[in-house]
Amino acid sequence: MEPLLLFGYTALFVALFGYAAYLQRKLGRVERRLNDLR
Amino acid sequence: MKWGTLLFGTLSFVLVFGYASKTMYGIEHGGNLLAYWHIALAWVASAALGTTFVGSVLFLRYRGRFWSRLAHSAGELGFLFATLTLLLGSAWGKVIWNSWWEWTDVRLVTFLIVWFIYAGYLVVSSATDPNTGDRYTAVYGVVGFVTVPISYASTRLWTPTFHETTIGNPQVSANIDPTTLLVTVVAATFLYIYLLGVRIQVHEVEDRIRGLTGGRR
Repeated sequence: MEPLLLFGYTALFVALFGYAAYLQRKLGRVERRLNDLR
Repeated sequence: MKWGTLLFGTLSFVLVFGYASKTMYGIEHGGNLLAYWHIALAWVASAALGTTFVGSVLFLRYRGRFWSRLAHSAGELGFLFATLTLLLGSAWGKVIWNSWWEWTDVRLVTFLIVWFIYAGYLVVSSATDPNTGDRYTAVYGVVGFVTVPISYASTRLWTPTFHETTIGNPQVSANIDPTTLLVTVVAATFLYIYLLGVRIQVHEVEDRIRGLTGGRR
């Protein structure tokens, strides 16, 4: 596989999966905080 | 949405790596396969920034917190997609233009302006109080959107040096497979809607926490 292709799709995967994982973790954290406050 | 993203995302990569041609604009190179996600990301970035515009207008009109959450969530996603569009486009540009960046190309420069405008949108949004400062962010979201259609139409408004108008232009044969592109655009759209839903949910829970704690985070 060409380095440019590898670089492009690796960047895409890391950014999109990283952001999705970050959002899920953040959602879990704020939901726990809300439950604690209740 | 999650399953739609996975299904169409997998199908997109199967088509990109197993079916689509590596030859574009007469150049045979594996890096040309970056074009499919580059175009799809540019589309979802525009859709997201359009959502920010609509959310901002509706917030200024009706003042509901939902519109503000929608506008900010879409703005954040639009910025992420625009960043990836630039990154993948730069790598693809190296293949077909033998250059990472061209300051003489109107589409590149106007898209970079869009990127800076939405970086500014996120800065304004994070710097203002969510209870009182949403109005400023919404006005910025409305005014800043002007750059998006200008960037889209830039290749028709000014003489393009590298980004040629491909839609409705019989003189340009980019050799981009329409089925692969369509599946990739659908995958990226599903992903955008899924991430938008999660981001809005985060905003809602944060607002509830703020309500219970009297504004403290």
